[in-house]
Amino acid sequence: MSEPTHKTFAEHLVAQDPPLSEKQYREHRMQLEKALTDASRRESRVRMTVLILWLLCCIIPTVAVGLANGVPGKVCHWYPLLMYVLLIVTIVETVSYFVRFLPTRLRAGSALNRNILLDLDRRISDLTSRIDQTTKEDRPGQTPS
Amino acid sequence: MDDPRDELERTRELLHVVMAQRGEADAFRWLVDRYEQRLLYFIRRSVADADRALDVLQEVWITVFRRIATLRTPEAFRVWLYRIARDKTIDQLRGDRRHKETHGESIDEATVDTAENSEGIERIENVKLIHRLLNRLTPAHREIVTLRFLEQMALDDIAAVVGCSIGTVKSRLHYAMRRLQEGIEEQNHV
Repeated sequence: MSEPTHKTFAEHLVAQDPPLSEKQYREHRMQLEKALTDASRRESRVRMTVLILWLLCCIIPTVAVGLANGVPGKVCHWYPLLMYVLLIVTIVETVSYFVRFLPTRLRAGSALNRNILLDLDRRISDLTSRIDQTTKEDRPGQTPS
Repeated sequence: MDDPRDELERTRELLHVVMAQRGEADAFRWLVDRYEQRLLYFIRRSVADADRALDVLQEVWITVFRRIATLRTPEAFRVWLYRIARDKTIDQLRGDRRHKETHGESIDEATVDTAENSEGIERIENVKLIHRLLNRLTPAHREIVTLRFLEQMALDDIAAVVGCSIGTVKSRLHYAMRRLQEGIEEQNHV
């Protein structure tokens, strides 16, 4: 079989580089963990900010129209620039949220994603039992438990 | 038929990619552990300094972490990962202003019909020599042959990583393998 030979070759090849010292490797992993935690926090903060801004952009015009006795034209007449800015910010926020964050959220919670995970779990169990079976057959002296 | 052990490994990787896309930190760590050494080897073929190579590696993982949820086909994770690693390595080299423009080196593709089979020289007794000989290749040839040796990547996957046509990959691989073969023979005669 070429694959196991290849794997061993790749492992040997990787081992040819001067190894990192224990200290260097520990430092690298610590920095990586820290960088990933920071990135995760930053993502959450940005997501929350985008969401809050979006909500504000929706709430402010609604309240303003409410105060103007339900006549949107009046509000635009009072604060035309503010209304345009809010409209632009709302559009930008909505697009940015839908493009950047929502697909992740939806995918993470979707039934399709759960089904994929279940299917992969099942495939792993099948393959593991097939490998166990083959291993037992390769060792004729051993009785299957 | 595929070896069930290889299929099991691929399925496990797929499971961890999907879990990492859902934001599970342990699954992401599993992917880091799985690829870290090979990725570092790949990066160090272009960035020789270990500390700087580690910096590039860190940037690669942060980018992967940020973007993994946007990966539409989890099966393509490996190609996607190496593409990010390649881009980050080039960024680093550009930053250093030491990147020689040899990636676009042209080879007469018309003369090459098939890629050289790597199995002839892919033997443990050649490994030290191949590691040394890789430095004699141009960056464009080195990256292709490294991907082939490290990951046994198919030509179309290598083409996707390096962003060129399959024909170019074939010809570069052919040329690089010939150079390595010549290097090995030369060494054997000494």
